[in-house]
Amino acid sequence: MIGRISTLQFNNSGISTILEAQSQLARLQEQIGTGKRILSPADDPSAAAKLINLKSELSRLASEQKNIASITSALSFEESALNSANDLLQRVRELAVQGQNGTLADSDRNAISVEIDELRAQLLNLGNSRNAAGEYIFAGSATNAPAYSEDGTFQGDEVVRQINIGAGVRVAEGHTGVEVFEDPDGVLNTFAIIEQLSNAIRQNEAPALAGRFEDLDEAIEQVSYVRTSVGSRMNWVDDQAALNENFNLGLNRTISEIEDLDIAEAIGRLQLQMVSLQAAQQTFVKTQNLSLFNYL
Amino acid sequence: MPNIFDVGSSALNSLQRAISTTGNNIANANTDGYSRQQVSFASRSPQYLGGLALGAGVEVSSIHRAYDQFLAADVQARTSSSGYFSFYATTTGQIDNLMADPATGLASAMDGLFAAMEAVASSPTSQPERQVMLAEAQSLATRFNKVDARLSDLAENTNQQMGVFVADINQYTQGIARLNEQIARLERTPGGSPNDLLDERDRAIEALSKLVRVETRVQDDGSVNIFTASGHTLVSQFTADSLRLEIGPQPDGPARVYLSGIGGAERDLTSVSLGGELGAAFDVSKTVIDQTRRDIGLLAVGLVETFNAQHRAGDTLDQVAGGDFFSAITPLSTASPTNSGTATATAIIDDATQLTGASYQINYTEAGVTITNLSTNQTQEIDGETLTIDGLSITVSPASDETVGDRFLIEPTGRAASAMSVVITEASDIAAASSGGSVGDNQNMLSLIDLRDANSLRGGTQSFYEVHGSVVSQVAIDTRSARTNAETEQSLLQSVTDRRNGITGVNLDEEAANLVRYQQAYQAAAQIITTANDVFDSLLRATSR
Repeated sequence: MIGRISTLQFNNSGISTILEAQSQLARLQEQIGTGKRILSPADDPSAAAKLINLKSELSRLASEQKNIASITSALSFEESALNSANDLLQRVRELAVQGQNGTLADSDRNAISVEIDELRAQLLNLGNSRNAAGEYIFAGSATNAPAYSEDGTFQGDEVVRQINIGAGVRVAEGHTGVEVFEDPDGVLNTFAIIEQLSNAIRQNEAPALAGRFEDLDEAIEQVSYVRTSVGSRMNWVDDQAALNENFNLGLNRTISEIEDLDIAEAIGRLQLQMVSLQAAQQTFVKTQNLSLFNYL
Repeated sequence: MPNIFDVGSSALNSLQRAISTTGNNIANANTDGYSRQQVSFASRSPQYLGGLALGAGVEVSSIHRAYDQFLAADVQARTSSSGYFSFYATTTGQIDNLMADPATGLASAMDGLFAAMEAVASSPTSQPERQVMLAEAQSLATRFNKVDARLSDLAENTNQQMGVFVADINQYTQGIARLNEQIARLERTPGGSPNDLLDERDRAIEALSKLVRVETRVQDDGSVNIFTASGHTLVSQFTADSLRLEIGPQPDGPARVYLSGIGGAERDLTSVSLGGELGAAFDVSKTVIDQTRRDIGLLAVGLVETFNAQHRAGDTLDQVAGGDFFSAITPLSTASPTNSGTATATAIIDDATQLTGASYQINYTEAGVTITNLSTNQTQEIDGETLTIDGLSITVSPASDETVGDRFLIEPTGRAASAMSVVITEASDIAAASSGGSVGDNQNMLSLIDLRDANSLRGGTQSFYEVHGSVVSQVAIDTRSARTNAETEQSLLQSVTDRRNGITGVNLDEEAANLVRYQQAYQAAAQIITTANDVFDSLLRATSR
């Protein structure tokens, strides 16, 4: 307790109380204006470091969600190509069954062969499908050249692009032509099978034709197997998207908890601070008039 | 009988002085550092008349200032530490704000680059995505440049402030030496202490304390000797020793401070803890600004080296091997201006993972060449011409008689962030494919993306983000603790100042009361003269009849 106080000090302490209240008010105003509790890292060093990591994590998630969108569209594009391929192959099979009929005239068989050749050409076009970016989707990573040549030979590579869709989760963007149109042993080629079928019908070679049916069924099986794989991959990607979305929500909630201001509480403090500033100002004005000289 | 007049006029004289002292106090009620003055009265020695001791009135024995040397010393010490932490907190606060500024945030720029890389990985043949990646990389490099430029500005500003501090210190110490001389002269003459000069000197010492921590010792002749906290003399009686600041070679380079004695050799006070604002400027410059710059530089060099190495491992869209993505950053080697000119020292980065962020000094001695890590202060001999140390390969020319005393400063990361730039200009030169891979291959881009989480720095213990995070939190922690200390010191200074002012400051109510008291006493003393006059008159009238 100070027994004696100088007049200057008496003035100054009144003023410094006002200044202190004003600076706290200014800080509160800034916090309320930005809605942020932390205005610079020094306000809460550990939270600030955490925030940087969380925000970077958010940015990574945004990339992954973009990747998911692009992979989803790539997979649906592939799926529709595979659906068409399946339709074409089923039609080839129907025609081949018709072609088996020994009573057909040469001209009819020829017509059937011509249609099968046409279907093969369509299937080859599907094998050389290009996405919106102009990439040949079944050519592996050699996306700048058609996956298949006219004679049905695969010209791409077997590298399928991997895409990040989650923390440590990578998924293949599609399938190579080899996976879709050739058997795992590398012996059968769908385009060759169809060509042989067509030739057998045209030349009425019943035994050769019968031998190709099994291969054709295998080729159809192969396409539908890849279709299933695309479907399950889409499900996986969807699940990952939902997981990412949850993660995203959680991250945003944590970020908000760390850096956001409790506005209601801050407004309460603002009012309190305003009252104490007013009180300090009034006290200052009133006490300034107190002087013994007034009574001399 | 005439004694009555004497007594009365002695009272009038003394009270006039008291009233004028009170007036002086009132006049100086708002003067900073003014110590209120008090009049001491003493009764004059009595006259002996007919065996009786008769009072001879009053005199002013002294006019002294209200003063407490212990509180004054306390105020000085607190002024120093408050000045130290305030300056420290203000400067680190600037770096803290720099780190918080979204326009210079490195983490968000790294995020931007990695996001663009994900897009390239997702469609490696897309020119637009590649263009975006180049733009993001350029913006990351620009941010690094900006952060370094801001830190460089801050270092330069701090150096300039040191210059101002040193000039002020010299002015104060010279002023104190002059005041010492005047005070000593006045103390020798009878008539009391030179209160106003003493106040002035106290004010100067207090102002000096804010700049540098000092200790004072009062001498018998009234002068005050002033020492730094380390015991170096700044003022000895009537002479002041001056400080000299040396900055360089660059304007944002390290500063050194020397104390010059008259006729004596200069003493290097750079590594002495000086306290006050000057001490804070030295400390914050070395431990925060420089350290942050070297750490940000470490991140820049690490990112460039690691990124380039992975980039070179892949193939471009034109299916040729990738080159450097960022331009390589070579360690700076600065020769001391006093070097003989024949010695050379260069450094290259062998392995960015092993870099520590330290700078090194190379010294040519008679025995050979040594290298000192300036962060750990460890020194070792360079055996032969090349030394591998902390991921660096350092090559020096052989020592000779001529090169003794030559010095080099090697800064592998010190200004590295300013040198960061993207060297690739064509988007197709980005090596997204693995070596020998086709155009749609993205394996090398995936490997580049993997660098995001890889512990590529500080001996394989920290990722880019972790290095950045550690810089930000270190600055934040420094700032916060300096701020807390500054607040504590400020309130301690306030309380000790209040206590001192309680003793030394003028209170107008008290002066008003004194004024009334002295006025009444003066009226009473005047009454003595009137009474004496009446007595005299009566006597005259009685005798003239």
